[in-house]
Amino acid sequence: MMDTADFLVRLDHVSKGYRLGSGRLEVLHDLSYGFVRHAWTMLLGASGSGKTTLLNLIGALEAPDAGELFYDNQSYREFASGGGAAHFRGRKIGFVFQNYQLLPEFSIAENVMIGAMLNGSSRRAARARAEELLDRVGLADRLKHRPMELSGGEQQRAAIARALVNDPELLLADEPTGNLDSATGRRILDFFRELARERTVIMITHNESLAGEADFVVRLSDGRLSGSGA
Amino acid sequence: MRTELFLALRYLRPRRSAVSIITLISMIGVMLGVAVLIVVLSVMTGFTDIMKEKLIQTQAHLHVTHGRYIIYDVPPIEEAVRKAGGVNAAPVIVMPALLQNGTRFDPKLVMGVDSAKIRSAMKIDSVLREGGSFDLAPGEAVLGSRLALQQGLRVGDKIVLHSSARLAEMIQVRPGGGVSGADGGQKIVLPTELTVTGIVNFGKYDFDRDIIFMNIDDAAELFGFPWGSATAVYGWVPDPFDMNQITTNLAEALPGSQVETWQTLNAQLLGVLAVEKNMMFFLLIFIVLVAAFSIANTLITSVYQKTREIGLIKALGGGRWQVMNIFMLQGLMVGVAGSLAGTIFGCLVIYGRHGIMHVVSKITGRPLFPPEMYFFNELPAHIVPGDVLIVVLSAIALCTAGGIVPALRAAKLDPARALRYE
Repeated sequence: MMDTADFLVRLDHVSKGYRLGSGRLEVLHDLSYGFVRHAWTMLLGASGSGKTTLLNLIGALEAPDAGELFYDNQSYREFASGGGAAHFRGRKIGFVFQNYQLLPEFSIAENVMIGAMLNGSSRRAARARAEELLDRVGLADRLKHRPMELSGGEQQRAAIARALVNDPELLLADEPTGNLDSATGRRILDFFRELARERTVIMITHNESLAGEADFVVRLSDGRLSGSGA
Repeated sequence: MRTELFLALRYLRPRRSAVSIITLISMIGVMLGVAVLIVVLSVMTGFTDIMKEKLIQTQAHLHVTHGRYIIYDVPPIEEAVRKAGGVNAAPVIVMPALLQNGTRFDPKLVMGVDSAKIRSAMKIDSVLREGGSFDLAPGEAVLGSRLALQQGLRVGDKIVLHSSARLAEMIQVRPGGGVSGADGGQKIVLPTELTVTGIVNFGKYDFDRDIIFMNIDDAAELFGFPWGSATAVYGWVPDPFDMNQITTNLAEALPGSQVETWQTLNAQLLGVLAVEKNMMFFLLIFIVLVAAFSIANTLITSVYQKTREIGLIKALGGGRWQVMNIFMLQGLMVGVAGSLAGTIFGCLVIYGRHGIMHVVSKITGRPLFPPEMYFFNELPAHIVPGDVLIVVLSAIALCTAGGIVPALRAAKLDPARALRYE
């Protein structure tokens, strides 16, 4: 039996909806779940099931309409007050997106540096950290290249390096292999497995075949948790 | 702020996109606005400065008069001016007269003076043309340069002056109407004939066009005044821009006299110049304002184009202020760059104004600043650092303000929505 201390992120009767024209679309319904610390949890669900919305809530990019989220047993409300959500995201969370979301005006090294600089690192320290991480993801020779000059797999590796720049406890990945061929996707998944040894990883995907990769699998269907298991 | 500066600088880096072209145009707009403001304000300051200098040189620092009446006892007033703190004092007779040159008559301004007393105070030696003399012995006259040119007069020529007082002696106006010669038409009062001994060029168009200097005793005779009298006593002080104490002392020492300074005598003109300068600033700052709107427009477009990037910056930990600063800094940097370029360009225009005027005059075939309209032979200019600072700070403030609306919009963007933005 797990204790609340075992969970890095915990959902407690969380609901979320959006205004849609004159009506309202309820996306998440009364979700309660705990994401185990230092484990890789896969959120599986079809398109429109509410995966990205749930990831946004966990990433403090949005607030729930009802219920509460806890990070390390502390309510998100405490982080989010007084513009603290941005600080919380910068310090605790790393994001990896399906379409990489690299800034086109900046080199790969600068893209990684920005994450550190936004959170108070000096330019020199950020540069050193970016070079170290890009070396780790195999992009040491592409530091000065612009995102458009890299392949999809390389861009995603750069995005992972950026997500790690502030050494976050929690890594949130939104379909990180969605735009990649199977071989490149495989390499990225291996990399996530390696990362999950030292931090908590929550990845969302619609691809059922990836279920076996993670330590835990949560299925979302029409905004409801339809089942979970290790 | 370093991170925001890093991002803002990169977003401003020239690229071949419509936004960067508009940014460049905005910057050029700021540059032109600042340059035009600096040029116009410098020329207006230069104009005002030279106008003051010429007014002081041609009118003395202070005038003591008895209103419309003649001053009969001049020495006590001269003494009072000196005692009050003046460095020099001189009686003058300043009256209009009719200059006869052949059959041509022209109204001119006669200034009867004691040459020895005004020579250094009016800096006569610096304006007297070569070959002339300003001794103003009886029967001698010195003419303004424009007057001599218009009348075709040279040193050694004779001029004839008629005064209204003398002309009036020959005419009798009957009470019931009608005009006849005095004493049955028998009375003839001859005008004064003078020999031109010098020509002076003060560089003030209207003064050089109208002035005739002559001996004060000749002037008294011409206008029918008693010997030793004057219409005014001119005074010169150590600092013509700080005369309050001296005028107060003089007013107390000469209770029956009117004491006026060159500033009060020309208050309207100096006031108009000051108002014009302020008006010019407020009119021309609109050029910068338009450029600031252009900056706002560019940055708003940029915020829309970079919505996803803003969402990403927020996801990476960028706070509202950081996002705001990125766009505010872009407005600020455009303002700073445009203002610096405008300051350099404006100063270069001022520096090369005579050459520019010469070229433009050659192209158009007419003088750009005719002296008969602008009083001076050349375009004056004086760059006042304080004015430049006000222009630059105003331009930077307007450009930074232009970044406020887009910055606020960027700061308010919801990160989750921004990341979904297509």
